[in-house]
Amino acid sequence: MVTALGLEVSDNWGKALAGVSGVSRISLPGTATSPVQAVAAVNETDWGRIAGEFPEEPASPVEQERRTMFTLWAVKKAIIDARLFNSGGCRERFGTVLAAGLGINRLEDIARWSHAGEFDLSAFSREYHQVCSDSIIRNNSHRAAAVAAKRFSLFGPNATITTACASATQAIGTAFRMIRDGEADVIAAGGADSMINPIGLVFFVLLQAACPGSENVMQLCRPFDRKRSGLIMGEGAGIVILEEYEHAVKRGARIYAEAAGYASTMDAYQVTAPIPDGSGAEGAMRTALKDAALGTDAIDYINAHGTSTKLNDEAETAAITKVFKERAVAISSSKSMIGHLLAASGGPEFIFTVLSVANDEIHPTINLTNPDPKCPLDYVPLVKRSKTVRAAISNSFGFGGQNASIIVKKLGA
Amino acid sequence: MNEQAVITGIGVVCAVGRTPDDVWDALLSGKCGARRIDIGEFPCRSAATTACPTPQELNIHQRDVRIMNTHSYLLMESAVKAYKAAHIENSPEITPDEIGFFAGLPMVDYEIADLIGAVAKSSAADGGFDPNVFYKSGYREIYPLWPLSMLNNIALCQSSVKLKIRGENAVFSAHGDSGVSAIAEGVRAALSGRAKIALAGGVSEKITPSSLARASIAGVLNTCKDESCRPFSSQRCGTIPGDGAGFLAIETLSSATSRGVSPLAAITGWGRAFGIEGELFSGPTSAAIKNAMTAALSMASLNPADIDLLIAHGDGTAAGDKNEIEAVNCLFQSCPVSVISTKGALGSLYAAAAPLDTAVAAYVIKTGLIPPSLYSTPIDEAVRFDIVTQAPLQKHVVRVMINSHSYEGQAASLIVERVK
Repeated sequence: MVTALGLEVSDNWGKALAGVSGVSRISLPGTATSPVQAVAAVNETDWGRIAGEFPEEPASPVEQERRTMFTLWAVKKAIIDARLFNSGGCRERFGTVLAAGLGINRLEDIARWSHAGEFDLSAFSREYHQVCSDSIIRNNSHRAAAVAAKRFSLFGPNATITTACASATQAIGTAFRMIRDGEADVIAAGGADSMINPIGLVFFVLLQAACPGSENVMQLCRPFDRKRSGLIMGEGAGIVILEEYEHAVKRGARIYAEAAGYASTMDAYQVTAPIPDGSGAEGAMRTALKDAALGTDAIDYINAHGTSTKLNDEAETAAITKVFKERAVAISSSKSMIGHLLAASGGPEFIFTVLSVANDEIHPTINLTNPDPKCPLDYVPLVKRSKTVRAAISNSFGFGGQNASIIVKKLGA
Repeated sequence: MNEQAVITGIGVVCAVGRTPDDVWDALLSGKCGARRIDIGEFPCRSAATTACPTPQELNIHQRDVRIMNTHSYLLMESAVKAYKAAHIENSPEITPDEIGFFAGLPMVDYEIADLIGAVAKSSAADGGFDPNVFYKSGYREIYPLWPLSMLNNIALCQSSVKLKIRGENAVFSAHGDSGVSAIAEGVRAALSGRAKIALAGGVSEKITPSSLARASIAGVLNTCKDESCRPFSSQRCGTIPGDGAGFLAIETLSSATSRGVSPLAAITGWGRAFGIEGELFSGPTSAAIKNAMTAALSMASLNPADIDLLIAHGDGTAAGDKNEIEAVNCLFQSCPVSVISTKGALGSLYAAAAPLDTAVAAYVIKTGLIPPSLYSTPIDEAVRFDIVTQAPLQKHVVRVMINSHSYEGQAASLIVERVK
């Protein structure tokens, strides 16, 4: 796991329970005038640890493709945690299913071959091998999955999912289905993403979804709060090892929780906004419950998509209300602390959901100090909660209108 | 699998046709879609291009046009055709929530024209890019909804709005294996009952300076004077890109029967594997290719001898052909199999390749004709299987295997069978 809160799952979980914000002022060169000043970035010390762990990855530290480096770190840590190194097993039945985001559109590449507002295509077509090493031109969306699978000898199914902010939850859900249907025994699933670069920083500004604030940055990401004003971008990775139950038991693996159900839906409304009545998200949760053969009364916690945007938080609240009706269920948003990891967001959020089920603790939604009448549910504001969590849902919704919900429960519950 | 997943609708568009019948006739007659392209001075000078449908032809609202691109139009055209071919609109008992939508989508590159204004307004004194200026004012030159055009799931979402599809979905990226993954998940959704019907397919990568640069860096493009893609030929010298998209409507045989639609073929298995040697971009190892084929056979409860035709990945690259030849030689050593590649005619369609090859497989099973593999002669002397060349081969075909690979080491195989 890689987030602004740290590089170890235990660190992330401890800080999340304590309500620590990973948001800080952006400190990259040239960003003093950026319309986005608050990000939940991986700090320089942690980045140095990651880069040092994989020194043979090509290019200078500045141009190492951050998604790939985050992936390598998180997959390695997950494999160590699962005690899969030298564990035997058929590596042809060990797979990789990851999420991928946008990649980096390097404006330096366009500037390099432009003169007076005209792009010199002839020169570019002769000199294309000089494009920046972290450019999308050199880094296909499935590169991270390939690099990780090669390094850790995962020779089974290898797939990459690109459904915007629903990607990592869809990756974990797809991996869950692959294992349930016998296509693999073990899959490293989740995702990594980073858009803290010039195009990435203005991406959500252009779409009017970014939080514009620059003061008291740790208080800017406030999902479900009346004064929320947009998303705060994070970066990092969240990878889990999903394993077929008998395979895990046979090798004496520690089992955190059981993946119980998964579903995805589409809004089919507009690609610019979620459907206001939340019916797409509602469908994802309902179908996931059906897939898990669970009723709403079995769910004790929802790790919400909770982006801190006006539209998402209202639509998600409407969806949860429709599914759970009068029943109170604890809800929290990890993004209030680690920011929005975009395509990867479902990765760390799934890990937090699993840990809630395993440890009977729920991290808070920080900065929720002004209740929004349009968001009247129990979002576990400010302070963690200790309670039995028999089963939980993790939600992710993507720009364009793709929704995904995945359910974990206590083993055998 | 007790219940069969069957294909009940096909939508295709590629360099040799815009309907399944047209594409089939073109392949049988040996028509090649490759033509000269003129994009800068890239050493690859040919591609199997096709005209992009206009927004008017697809009845697209003007406000949506600026966030659509070639891949969006091709996806929409082929998905709409598959939807109509399967007569879904005549089955009101199938609700939007019960229709699945799965696609393999390519790398979506920026259009230089969309960003060059912002870059020009963000110049440093030395003519380079100054991020300070970009953040302060330059970025405002970018169309506010441009970011959506860069998300490669948006093309699927736009088609979901048009077709009112609200069910199970996924987008896989970016190259050959992703088309197989989309079909596999479509089959899984139909067989599990999570979708009554699923549209599954894929789209090629737009041929742009960025995509040509990407493929050139990977070292896979044809840079010879002979501008053909020559799968399994000793004279191969790289692949050529192609435009295209293919979508299949997939449902259970009992669903098709109850709706009164004719099943065209069944999809009975798939396999996915990974393996790469040396640098990325050298394609899957022969072991990975064999593992994917073996897994597909196992899922379909078949042996190599049961396969009548292999539609190979066969992209005409040195490493790709070498590894696939080794794998096919090994798996089919005691059971001769007919083999073709459609890339000589259609070019490399990446995520669209497997869906289009699946459509071809359905026609082979239906007609008993195998179209020839273009430009495969003289055949590489390492080949130990029967490549169909020159003319169509008449053969009773019950089962077809399809291979589709990515340069980063992903191998995928699919089994298409005559409906039982």
